[in-house]
This record gives sequence, structure tokens and C-alpha cells, in this order.
Amino acid sequence: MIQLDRVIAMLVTSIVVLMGFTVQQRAQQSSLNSTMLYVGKKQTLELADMLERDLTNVGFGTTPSETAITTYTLHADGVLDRFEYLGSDAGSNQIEIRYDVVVVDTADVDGVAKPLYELQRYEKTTGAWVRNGGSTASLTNFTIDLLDDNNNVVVKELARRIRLRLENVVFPEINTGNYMDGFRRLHWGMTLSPPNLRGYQGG
Amino acid sequence: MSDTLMAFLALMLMMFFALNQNEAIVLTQREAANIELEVLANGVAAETMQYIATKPFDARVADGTVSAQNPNLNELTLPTQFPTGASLDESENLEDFNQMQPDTVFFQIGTDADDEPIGFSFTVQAAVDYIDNTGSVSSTPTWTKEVTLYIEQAVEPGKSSSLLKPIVKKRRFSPDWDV
Repeated sequence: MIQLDRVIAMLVTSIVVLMGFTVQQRAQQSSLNSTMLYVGKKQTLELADMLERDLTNVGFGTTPSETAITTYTLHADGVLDRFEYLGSDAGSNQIEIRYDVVVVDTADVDGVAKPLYELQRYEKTTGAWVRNGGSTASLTNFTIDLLDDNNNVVVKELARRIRLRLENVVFPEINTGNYMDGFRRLHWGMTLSPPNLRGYQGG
Repeated sequence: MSDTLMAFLALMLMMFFALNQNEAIVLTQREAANIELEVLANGVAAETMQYIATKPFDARVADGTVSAQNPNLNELTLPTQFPTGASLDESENLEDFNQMQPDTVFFQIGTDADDEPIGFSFTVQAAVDYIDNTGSVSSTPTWTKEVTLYIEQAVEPGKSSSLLKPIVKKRRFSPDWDV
């Protein structure tokens, strides 16, 4: 009888320890993933702030008929490749700004291999381009559409509005295969009418 | 008997602990969905604020009654005379956005298998106030107006929003001249 009690006690102890371990591990995963998501949110909103500030000033200091957007090319999948324009620095001086969106890796997102892009931001006051800002290499979408006043897509010389869309994927530190513990997509975007783009380039 | 009771107690304790931890995990997952919507709503707020920023400071500025040559505060629209109930499209000056009709904005994040847009809808509401030199709301006109946007997820009646609280975005505006 005493032997049986010991076996039962050992069994119960094992179950309790195993349950405790599993629950603790799940809680740690959840906490880590939650932290990663907060970091992803912060990065996305900081990138959004920079883009809003930059794109509001597209065409800064240009004169009528002067071209504000000098380069606009896309990747084959429609993601922005290069965007060069006349903008403004923090001291309200006209500078050239360039966005290069480059593929740095691929990731399995929803079972599809998707390229991971990084936005690289450059400035040119005089002379060479200087890297100044950008994103982490976790963008799965970054599009800039150039629109007219009726939201039709137009060539860069006729652009009056800019529509921006981005998707930043946050990868968890530990992925259990459970969707809720898996990657999360943070979408951000806006359409804006830069005041210096209106009535200028293209006449 | 006492051994069995102890074992039963240990299991009970463990189950209680597991239940608490699982509840915490569910809350974390809900927060994750909330963060995704917060970022989307932030985009809606930024876009709406950009649109509002293109409007004149006041109807009296728009019609030329108040200008750099005639910077008369008393001519500006009184807060008690701010219109209410205008739609976003009808609003022509900053004060028109005050208590406007809630505007619904659909934020598309992709398309489904049938090429139909998928995304989330948000409701935009706004309030406009004059702000005095101490940063407080003023009951008389000043050269600073503060626009406050409230962005909520638009959900069907009976359904709960995954955006746990509205996004609030404020921005202050002044006329385009030195005063």
C-alpha cells in the first residue's frame, strides 16, 4: 500500500512539474512576442513620422515648371525601387532626398516566400549622397503612387498627390506555429497633397 | 488519505496557476490585434490631419475680413458660433470640422482571392478649440486653433472593436502670417 502511495505521489509530482514547465514556457513566449510587437509598432510609427515629414515637403523651394520629383522607378512587383525629389531639411533648406528600397532577404509569409525590403534614405546638400535614416529590413510592401487631383495614377511630372502604403512584418522571437504567436503585419499609409507640388511641376 | 488530499491540492493549485497564465496569454494576443489596428488608425489620423491642414484658419480669413493687414482677433469666428454637423467634404475652414458628422474611412490592406478589397473601417470625429498663451482652451478667439481627431474602429452593431481605445491626435494651427 505504501509503495502504491509513493508511485502515485511521484506521478502527481511529475504531472505538476510538467504542467508548470509548459505553462511557464508559454507565458515567456507570449511575453517575448509581445515585446517584439511593441518594438515593431514603435519602429513603424517612427518611420511613418519621418515619411510624413519628408513627403509633406516634396517640391520645397521649387519654381513654377521646375521638376520636383526627378526619379521614380518600381520593382517588378510594384514595390518602390527609387524615389528622388527636391525636399527640405530640418533647417528649411532645399536638399535632394532619395529613397532606395532594396531587397535584403526573403521570408516565408503565409506559406509564400516574400522579399524583405529595407528603405534606405539618402540626402544630398552638395556633392555626394549621404545615408541618413531608413527602415529595418522587415518591409514586405512599400509603395508610393503618384496621383493627380482626382486620384488617378499619373507620371511624376503631373503628380499633385502622393499615396504611400507600407507593410512592416514583425517576426516573433519564438514561433510556436500558432498563428497568434506567429508574425504580425503592421500596415500604415496615407495620401497627402504636398503644398509645393500643387500648380508647379508640369505647369 | 492525507497523501491523496495533498496530491489533489497540488493539482488544484497547478490548474489555477495554468488558468491564470492562459488568461494572460489571451490578453497579450488581444493586445497584439489592438497594436495592428492602432498603427492603421494612426495612418488614418495622419491623412485626415493632412487634409485639414490644407484648409484656411478661419472663415473670416478665407473671405479676407481678417488678414495680415487687418489682424483683428475680434473678427474671427467665436467658439459659440462654430458650425456643427458638417460633413468632412463640406468643411471649408478649420472651425467647420468641429463636431462634424462622423466620417468613415476604409483602409485597404490587400485583396482577397476574388480581388475584393480587404481592410478595416474607421470612424473619424473632430473637435476644434481656440488655445490661449498658456495652452488652455479659450472661450474667445486667439491666433491658435487646436484640432483634435478621434479615430475609432467602425464595427457592426453588436460586435466589439479590436481597437481597445480611440486614437487621439492633436495639432495646432495658426494663420499663415506673423502675428
